Amino acid sequence: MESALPSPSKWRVRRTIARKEIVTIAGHKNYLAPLLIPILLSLLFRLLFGALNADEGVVLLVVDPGNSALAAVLEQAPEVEVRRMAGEAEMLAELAGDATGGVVIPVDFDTAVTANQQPPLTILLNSEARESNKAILQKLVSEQLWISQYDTPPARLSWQEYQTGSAAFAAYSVDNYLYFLLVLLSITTVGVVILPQMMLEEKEGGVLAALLASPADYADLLLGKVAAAFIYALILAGVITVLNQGYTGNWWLTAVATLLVIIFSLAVGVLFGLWAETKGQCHAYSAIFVLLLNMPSWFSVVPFANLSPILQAVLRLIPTYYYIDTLIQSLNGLVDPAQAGFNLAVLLVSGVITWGIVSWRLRRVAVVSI
Amino acid sequence: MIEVANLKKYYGEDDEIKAVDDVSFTCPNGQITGLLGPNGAGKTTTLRMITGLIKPLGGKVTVDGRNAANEGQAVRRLLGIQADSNGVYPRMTPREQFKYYGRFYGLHGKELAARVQAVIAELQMADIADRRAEGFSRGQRQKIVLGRALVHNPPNVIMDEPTNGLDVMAVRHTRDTIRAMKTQGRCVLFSTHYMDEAERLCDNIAIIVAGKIVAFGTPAQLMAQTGQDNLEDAFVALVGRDNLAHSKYA
Repeated sequence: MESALPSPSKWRVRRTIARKEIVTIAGHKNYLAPLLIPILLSLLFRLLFGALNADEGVVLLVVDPGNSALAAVLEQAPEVEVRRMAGEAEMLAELAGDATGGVVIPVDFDTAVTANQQPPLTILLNSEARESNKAILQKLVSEQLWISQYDTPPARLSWQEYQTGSAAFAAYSVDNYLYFLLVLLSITTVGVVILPQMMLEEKEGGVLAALLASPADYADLLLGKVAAAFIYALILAGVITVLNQGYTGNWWLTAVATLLVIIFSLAVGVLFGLWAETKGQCHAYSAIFVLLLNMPSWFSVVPFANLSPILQAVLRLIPTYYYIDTLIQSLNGLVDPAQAGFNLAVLLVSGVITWGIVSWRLRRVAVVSI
Repeated sequence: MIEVANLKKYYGEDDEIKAVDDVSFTCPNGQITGLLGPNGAGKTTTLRMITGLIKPLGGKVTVDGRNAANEGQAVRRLLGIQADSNGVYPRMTPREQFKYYGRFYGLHGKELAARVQAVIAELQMADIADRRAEGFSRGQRQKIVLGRALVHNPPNVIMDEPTNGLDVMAVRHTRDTIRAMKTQGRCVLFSTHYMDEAERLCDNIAIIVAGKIVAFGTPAQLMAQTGQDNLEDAFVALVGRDNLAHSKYA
């Protein structure tokens, strides 16, 4: 007999494993329940707080000395109430009240738009306004009006969080707090709880030997599972970010920090999966680790600077502290480049070190127990 | 064809435990070769080294002319493996499991679907092919394990105690499958504890004791060599009663 099968690429093998894992998670209540709970909580809180604040509408303060077409178009949108201001100073003073945002449209704005010069236009967002209202305003201006009125973006739009209240406390809205809790819980649940359980499936189920005797090796198995967990973590973080308006502020900073914390979390999960012999053993210890990694989000209800020095010192030992601190800066629009850079560096180094330990552990255990 | 030459595997700090020590034998195509020995004799270690699950300390494994040490991936595609643990994915159907493993061997699309269907027909499991494996009997699970090993139509099949723990009907079915593999021209190598099974199925038998091959030949040759009239007595004579003291034959 002759077997003339082509050699499958390593990526095809890993993709096959990842696809199987994605389907397994989607169809397994033990995996699916912890993933859906943060989403359901997001929806629940959104409904609750949405109802509590139902009387708050979206208000945009407009300074428009040139009587631009943009202001006229915005005034016709039913989702937003446009209030015209005489000048920038009056607009900024009013922004401290119930307004969602404010904008100064330059006198020559329409001329520049017509000439396809794409002039810059900065819209200020009231840092104390509801996140959902800010999101509605951003969506309205960025997507609906602009796309429908112009073939190409007429201006280079930027959003800036305007600090209207106490600088120290303005960032700590309930919306933000829930977002921090749920996004970190989701990421660490996928990384530290679900991924190691997935890794132990073959070992516990007596399938590992058969799989390793095929063209797939342990690295393929590991990478396939990590890829599946990565996709789930990314989707979950994305959904929770959207539901909780986590994309406001410096969204790119939020995105980079989230990516780094996912990478770190998956590395921790792989370590658990390599260390544990049974799912039960893994479950007990990973639950403790998830609690530990989520501590910084619990304490973000008050500014970290207001916590006791000992608690601050303890929290700083946890890499996820730097994630939450980055999110606070990002969503508040008060990004300190040096501090944000340091936070991202800590997250990156934590991920690199943990993946380094994984690599060392894999080399040390040359023969996987089968 | 599987050729094993001077295979070695030692354990312990000073290599004092010789799990497999200079083992050599050949399994030709279209024949069934049995690997017999008491518990701890080195059967599973030998099979695992042939399948690439354990790296040998020394020696050479050749499958259809390819050196397993240099062409591991190519050799794996030439082998179908039924490991000693007959685990299955409980949440997947047999058909899904066959497809999953088939993809590892480069099968896809219609070719994969056709091979999966052929395996389902060959193992007579059409009635359970699309049911989740959760709650399957040992016999049904064994069919999945065999199907996974055969999905890529390998010319060589290695099985570690394939009938261990099965009921009578499942044993008969597994033995029929092994005979069918021989008829198809495959090289079959399997380990077993059951003398009657080895006598009925095997063209050649290698008896391994304390990591060494102590005899190799047809069942008739082994009986003639020891002057016994059945394989079990021949086995005991070749292995020695001391070596059986701690085994299931004691």
